[in-house]
Amino acid sequence: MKLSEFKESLTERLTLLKAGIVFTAQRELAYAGNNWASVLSTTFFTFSVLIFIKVIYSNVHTIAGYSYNEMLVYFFIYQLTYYGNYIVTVRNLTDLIPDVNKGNLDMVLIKPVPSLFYLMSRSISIVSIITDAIPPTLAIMFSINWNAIEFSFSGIIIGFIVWIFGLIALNAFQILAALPVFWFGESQNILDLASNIAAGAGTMIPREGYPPTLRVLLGTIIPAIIAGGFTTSILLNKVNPFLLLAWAGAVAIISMFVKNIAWNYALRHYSSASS
Amino acid sequence: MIIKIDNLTKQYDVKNKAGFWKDSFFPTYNKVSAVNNISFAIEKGESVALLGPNGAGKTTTMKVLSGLLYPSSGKVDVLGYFPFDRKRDFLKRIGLVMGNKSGLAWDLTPNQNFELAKKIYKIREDKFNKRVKELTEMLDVETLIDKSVRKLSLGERMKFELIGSILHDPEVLFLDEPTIGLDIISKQKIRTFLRDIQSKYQTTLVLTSHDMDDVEKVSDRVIVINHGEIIFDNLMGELLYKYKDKKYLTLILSEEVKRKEVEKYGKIIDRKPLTFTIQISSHDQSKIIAEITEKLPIDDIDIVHVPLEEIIADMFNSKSKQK
Repeated sequence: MKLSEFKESLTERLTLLKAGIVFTAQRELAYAGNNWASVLSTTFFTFSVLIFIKVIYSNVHTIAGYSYNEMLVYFFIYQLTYYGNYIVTVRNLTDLIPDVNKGNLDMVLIKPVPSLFYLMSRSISIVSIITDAIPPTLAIMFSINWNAIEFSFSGIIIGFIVWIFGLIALNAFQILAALPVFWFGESQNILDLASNIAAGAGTMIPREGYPPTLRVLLGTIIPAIIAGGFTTSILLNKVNPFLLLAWAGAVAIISMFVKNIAWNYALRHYSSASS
Repeated sequence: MIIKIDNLTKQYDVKNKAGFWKDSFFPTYNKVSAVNNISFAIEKGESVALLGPNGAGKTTTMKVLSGLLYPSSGKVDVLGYFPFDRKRDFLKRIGLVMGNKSGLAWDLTPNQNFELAKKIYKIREDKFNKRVKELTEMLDVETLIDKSVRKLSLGERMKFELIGSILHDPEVLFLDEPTIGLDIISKQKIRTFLRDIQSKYQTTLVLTSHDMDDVEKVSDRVIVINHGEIIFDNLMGELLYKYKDKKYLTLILSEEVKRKEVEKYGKIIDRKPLTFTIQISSHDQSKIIAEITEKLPIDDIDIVHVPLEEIIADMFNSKSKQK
C-alpha cells in the first residue's frame, strides 16, 4: 500500500469513526431517560465488587502476589477494559447478529466503506461512556491509594499500548464468535459465551494468579487477560514489560489477520434474507 | 454493456431434517438453486424489470448484481467490476433501494442520515446541498427533512430512502419492490420520479416488483424469471403485443343478468354485483359490443388491454404445463 493510499484509508476511517460517534450520541440522546438505568446497574456492580475485595483482604495480605491496593488497580484496569470492550465491540456485535439474520446487512454492504470497520464503529457511544462508565470508575479511582504505587513513565506508555493490543485481540476473538451467524442464522449465545469467557476470566484474577498453561491459553487463543492482566502487571512492574509488549503485539496482529480472513470468508456465505 | 451476466447460478444450502440429535451434531444439507444458469445483458440508461413469482430468483439475481451475494458459478460483470469484490469505486457508482429494508437510521432525521451519506460518498458540500434540494422538491418532501425518520409515514420514508440511495448520483440503481405497501399517490410520485432520473441522468434502472403498474410505468424491458430460469427477455411492447389479440371488456349493468347470458360473449374473468369482466378477441370487439349493448341492460362498458399481471401469470402457467 502506498503512503498516499494509507493516508486516505486512515482519513476515511477517522471520518467514519467520528460520524459513528456523533450519530450514536444523537440516537442515544433521543432516549435520554433510558440511559440512567444502566448507570445504576454499573454503579451497584462496582460497589459490590469493592466490598467483596475489602472482605477478602480482611483475612489475607496478598492474593497472587497482589496487595489490596494493587488489586484495586487491577480492578480499575479491568473496568476500563470492560467498558472499552463493551462500547466498541459488544454493542456493535449485538447489532450485527440480527442484521445478518434478517438480511439488514445489505444496507451496510452496499456502502463504499470498509464493511467490518464500519460495522464496528457505527455504535460507539460517548453518552454511555459518560453515564455508565465514569461514575463507577471514579469510585474505584478514589478507593486506590495512588501514593503507595510506584509508576514509571515507560510502564504507563507500554501498559497503554498493551491495553490497546488487548482490546484489538478481544475484539477479533468476539467477532470470530459472532461469525457463525452467517452459517446458522444465529450466534448470540456463542457471542455471549465468548464475551463471558473474556470478561469472566479477566474479572477477578490477575495474570499472576493463573497457572502457566492457562496464562498462555488466555493470552493467545482466548485473549482474555491481555488488556486487563498484562497491562496491570506492566504498570505494577511485576514482569518484563517488553516481553509482554512483544507478546501482546504479536497476538493482536495475528488476530486481526485471522479476523479479516474469517470475515471475508463469512461474507461469501451471507444469504441476505429477504422479507 | 453496463451489466453482463453469463450462466449465473446461485445455490443455497438447505438443512435436511433428520431428527434432533443428528441435526445438532451431524447436520446434512441439500443444494437448492435460486438462480439457474441465467444470462442477460443491460445497456447504459435502460430500465429493466425482473419479474417472477415469489422464490423465482429475481431478488437473488439483483443481490448478486449489487455485490451482496457471492455467485455459485457463472460470470457477472457490472460497470466492469465483479460485484462481490465490492470495490469502493464500484459501490460509489451503484445504488440500492429495498422496499422492505431501511437504509436510514430511524432515530435520526433524513437530513442527519444524508449528512452521513455525504461523508461516506465524499459528496462536495455545494453539490450535496443542490442535490438534496432538487430531489426533495421532486418528491415533494422538502418540509419533512428535519422530522425523525420513525415519525414519517411509510410513503414519506420510502421517498427519503430513494433520495438517500441516489444522493451520490449512481449510474445503476437497483430497486427491489420500491413501492411495496404505498398508497396510490406515493406510488405514482415514485414511478414518475424514477422515470425522471432515468431520462435526466441516464441512470440505468433494474427493478423487481409484484406491482405490474410499477413495471409498466418504469420499465422498457422485461426479463421474466421462473424457477431460477429466464422464460422471457424482451421489450415491454413485445410482451404486450403478444397479447394484442385479447381484450378485456368490463360490463356495468343496470340490473342483474344470468351468468350464461354474458358467458356466450366471452370467457368470464371476474364477476361482481352488476359487473362482469369478460375476455374477448380484438377482431370481434365491434361486433360483440354492438350485440351486448343491444341485448343486455348496459350502463357502461370499459375496454382494456389484458393487464400485465394476467400476461405474466399466463406465461407462468403455460411454462408450468410444458414442464
